[in-house]
Amino acid sequence: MKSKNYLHWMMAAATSIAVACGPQLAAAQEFQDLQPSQPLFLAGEGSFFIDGYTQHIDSKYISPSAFAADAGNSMVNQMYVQYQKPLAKNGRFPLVIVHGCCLSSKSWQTTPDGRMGWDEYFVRQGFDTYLAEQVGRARSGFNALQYQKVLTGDAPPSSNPPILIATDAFAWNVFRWGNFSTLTPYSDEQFPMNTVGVGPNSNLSFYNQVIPDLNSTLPNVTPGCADGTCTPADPNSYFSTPSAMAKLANDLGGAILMGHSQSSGYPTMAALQPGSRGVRGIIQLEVGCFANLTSADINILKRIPILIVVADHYPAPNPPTACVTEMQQINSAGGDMTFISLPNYGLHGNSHMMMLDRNNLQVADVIIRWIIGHVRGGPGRL
Amino acid sequence: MSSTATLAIAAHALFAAKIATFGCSSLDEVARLQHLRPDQRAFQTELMQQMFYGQCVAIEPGKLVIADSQASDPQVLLIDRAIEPPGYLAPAIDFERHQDRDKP
Repeated sequence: MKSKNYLHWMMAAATSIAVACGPQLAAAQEFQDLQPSQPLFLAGEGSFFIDGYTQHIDSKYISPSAFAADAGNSMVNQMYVQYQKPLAKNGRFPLVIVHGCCLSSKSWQTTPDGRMGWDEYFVRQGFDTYLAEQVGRARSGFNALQYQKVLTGDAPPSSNPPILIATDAFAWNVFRWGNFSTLTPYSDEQFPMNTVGVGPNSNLSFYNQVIPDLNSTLPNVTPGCADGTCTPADPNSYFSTPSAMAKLANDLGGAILMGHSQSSGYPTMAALQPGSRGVRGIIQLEVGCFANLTSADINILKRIPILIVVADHYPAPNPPTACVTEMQQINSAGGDMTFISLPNYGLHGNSHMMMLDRNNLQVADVIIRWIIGHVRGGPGRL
Repeated sequence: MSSTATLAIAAHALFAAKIATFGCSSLDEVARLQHLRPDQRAFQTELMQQMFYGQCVAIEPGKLVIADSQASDPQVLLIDRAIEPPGYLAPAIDFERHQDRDKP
């Protein structure tokens, strides 16, 4: 009887969430671009933070001054995570996905031209899917104290960490869309170029996703770390996206970590964190290789299947030399590291932003096939 | 005093970046960026590209790093392995030993 009531509750919750996630309420960058999709049945969805730490904010650093009496502690360098859990699970480990530079978790959601993003697709394929915002980015917030010190004259303006502002020219070059000076995409370009001003009835909706990158504001090493005793496990020492990813993988009882671009090396870095025991698979989108691994590192990584995926129009050499070195080290030690160049799989014209490309679900299927073939076990079967 | 001599004293030592510099995950990329460095435009383009591919990080002047004695090349520092394993390889000449350990 008890289990029957539980089933009723689950079904009711799933129905409620399915209604809330119907296409009429889904979020897109341009509302008129929304595409209809089938109902999505969820067992749960929500969000949480991987803790940062508190720092004291003196009243002189609080502005406007009307609030100066509220000196106190402020949380910084936390990591925001949102998740969806499908009702019909595939029995695989959860996916934890982290975006790249100048971007946020929006990278994985509805594409700028209104198609299904990887977040929804992986959920529909039965994966519990967790989207994490890099520490210091988007909903994770950032540490503003340094800027307030400059504002009050307690620090010189030159001490402010630079903020990386990505432009359209930058996007064209780094995301590999084609020739920016003539706004001419590659002939086989898969990115929805109508969202970056190319073609009739185009718009600039993709650029809504490009936000300032505040990574340079992340914490400095403190002198207390110089003796080597300061590790990521020290709650008062250092917080970074890889350390937060390692904690999340531990907390989930095992997870496949996927990082894109700037974050492509973070899953490996998470696996190498002291105390990390939950990384069950590593997916590196557009590189993130390490040719500086120690034998101890290799001993850890040889137990974790690793996939590298690169798209088309990739700058030579391909694979990058660091990837060749790492693959040789990992695989000769008995590990399982795979390199996939999408053109070799018959997928041509994909950009650095493959998760938003017009064939983004085909690319996701390449990843899912690799997971099925390489990552053994699932939650509760560690 | 060379960085090599300093590193011979302790397994970990705190260093500060003297100038804007970088760290990468391979010696090849460090060498490539050093080769390009006289041409600042080419250097910045390559560094930015490698940052985007998760292969390198930019390091601002004054940033403190933990240098590790495991680097095999005396012209290269292995930095921040203690907190961000496997750490990054960086040009040793761009760093100096941080003397004032009590100063935050």
